[in-house]
Amino acid sequence: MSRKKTGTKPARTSWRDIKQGNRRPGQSRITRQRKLILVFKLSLFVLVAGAFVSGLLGLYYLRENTFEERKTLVREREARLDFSSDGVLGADWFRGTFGEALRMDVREIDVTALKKALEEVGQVESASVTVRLPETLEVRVREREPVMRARIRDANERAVLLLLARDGTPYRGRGYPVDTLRRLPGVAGLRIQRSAEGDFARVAGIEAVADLLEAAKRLLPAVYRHWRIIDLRDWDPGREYRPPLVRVKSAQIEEIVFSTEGIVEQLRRLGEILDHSQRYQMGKPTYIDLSYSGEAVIRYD
Amino acid sequence: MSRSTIVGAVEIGTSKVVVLVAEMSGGRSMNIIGRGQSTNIGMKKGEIINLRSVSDCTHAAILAAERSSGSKIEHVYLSFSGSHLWGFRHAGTTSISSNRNLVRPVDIERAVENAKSRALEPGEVYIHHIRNGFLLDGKPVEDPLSRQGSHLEVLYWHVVADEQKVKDHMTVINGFGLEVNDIVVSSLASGSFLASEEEKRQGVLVVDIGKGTTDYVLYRGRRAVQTGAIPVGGEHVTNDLGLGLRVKSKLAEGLKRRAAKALVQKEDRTRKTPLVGDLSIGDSFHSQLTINKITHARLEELFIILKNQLGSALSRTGLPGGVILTGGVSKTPLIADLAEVTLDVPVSLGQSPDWVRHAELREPEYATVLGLLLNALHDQQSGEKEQEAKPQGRWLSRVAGFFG
Repeated sequence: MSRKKTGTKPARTSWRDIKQGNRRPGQSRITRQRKLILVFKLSLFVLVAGAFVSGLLGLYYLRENTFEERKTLVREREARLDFSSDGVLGADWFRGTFGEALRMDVREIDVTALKKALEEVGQVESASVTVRLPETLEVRVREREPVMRARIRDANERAVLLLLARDGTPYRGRGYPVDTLRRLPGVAGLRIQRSAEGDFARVAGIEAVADLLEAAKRLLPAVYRHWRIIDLRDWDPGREYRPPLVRVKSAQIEEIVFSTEGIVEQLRRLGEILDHSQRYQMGKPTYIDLSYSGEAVIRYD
Repeated sequence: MSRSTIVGAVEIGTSKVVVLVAEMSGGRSMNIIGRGQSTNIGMKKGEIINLRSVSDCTHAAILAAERSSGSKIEHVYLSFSGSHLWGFRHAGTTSISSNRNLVRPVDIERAVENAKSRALEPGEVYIHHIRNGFLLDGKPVEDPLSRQGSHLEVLYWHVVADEQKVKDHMTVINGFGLEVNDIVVSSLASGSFLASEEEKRQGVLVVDIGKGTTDYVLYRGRRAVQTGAIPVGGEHVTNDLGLGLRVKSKLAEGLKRRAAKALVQKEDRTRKTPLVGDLSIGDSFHSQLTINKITHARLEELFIILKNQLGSALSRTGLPGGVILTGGVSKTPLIADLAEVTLDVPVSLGQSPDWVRHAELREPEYATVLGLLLNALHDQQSGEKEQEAKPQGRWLSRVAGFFG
């Protein structure tokens, strides 16, 4: 059993120093099969895990997408606005004021209520609201035309500019160009009442004043251009014994007094007076009262 | 409560690979839960000559064992045999360095280190360092610690193997994706299993006669004092029968298993033994006397070699426990009688301890793997003791076990 031993220092002295590991030469068919099975199991696990993760991601994606889609659908289902007006109001104003109606399905819009709401806006004289399926809300607006402007104080004593329409409806004008507003004559001496709801009440009988202004604009545009204030302190349509008077403060003539009856005739006379005064160099009239039929009271400078 | 461990004992023998799977609970109990076996081709005289074939056979046996146990092997204990194994006795010495000449642990460590540091030839590795006791000032002592003396000597029996052969065996196990926890020389494995503590104390020789090699271990004073391997085994008997009777090896192997006896008896003179024995047409008959003579001659030679190797150690006075024969060849009828006549010591056939109840496991072929499992159990016990000494380490290992 014993052999001759040498004193050479060996590389390793115990079998435990031999490195172990998965050695290819020692692999058998069974090992390879086991490896294949292991690889298969691992692959299966990876596949199952992958499928699970994909499923989760898919569900998440589906959920998100459906939500997005719903949002898109909602967005798509939002009413598309077709707005037109004969005045200055535009689609932006409508969106700003009645945008809520646009954020719902057009089939859900209460057109009657919307029409009513629109017509409650002073500037809107009449409105037609139509739903055109599948998605269009058609709004046609007819606006009131301002004939005068009035500056009043609200409950907080703040100055408020109101426009007065031909039918006597006072309203806060929106969308008018500054020049248009500036060209409008201001009204004075007019009492504008507040309704029970806090709105401004319509001024009855103002049509006559409007007729005067329109006629003046049409017949004597050069004169009308200088009209600044329409003083209605003597304007009272209820007075029976004398027709209501309209006092006009002009840049050239301090005061012109009109009666609401025979407007065209009064304007014709005014034109003649002004022509006459100019032709014969009678001086600049400062006061003309045309309210007496067939006569005029004129005061010169 | 300790975690149970699944241990596999693998014996890659010349004729077959045997694998046993056991569940061990903290070194306290062991349940054999699986068994696998396959015929081995690719080995000769205990040495691997065809790695691929041996791998195939071993892996088949391991797989069968795992399947029968229903669990995966975690630790492998591998038996090792072969004629390349050799051993030598080498003592480590040291002078006691303390003032009062009391032996301290450091002295023992130094002596042990000295004993184990013997250089080997390149290509050789140590398999075992078996401690054979201490000599304090030339007198044998059981435990020299704290005893007074000036010169301490620790005796070791070292078992050495060819590094490449060890690597080949490990490669086979590693190829299955397992690592070898421990390698135990076959004779030590079967010896620790078959010899009782009393026999080991008195002195006993356990001889494991396999197909390719015969391994032996000599116990004295409860310690294995000598191991060895003789490159003679049952295969030689088969070859002799094949040559002597002019029959093929396969048939000779069958004849050996069926009819060969280690001793010639009177009735053998007239008896004829069929070669195949299945009553097939053309089956030839051979003289039982011839068969037994051939078998006797080879086995007698084996015992003579053994006697020569052991020399004076093999005597009635030196071996009160006698000789225990095991291994596949030990099943040859009258082999114990032949051994007793040749070796001149009491010889008995190895008997499995009573705790091995399974009839098949009591066969001598399983002595080595059962011995491996016993070894694993002892390892676990010592491991447990170490763990108990280090509660923190055990806690950590539990955590590691949870993740592992």
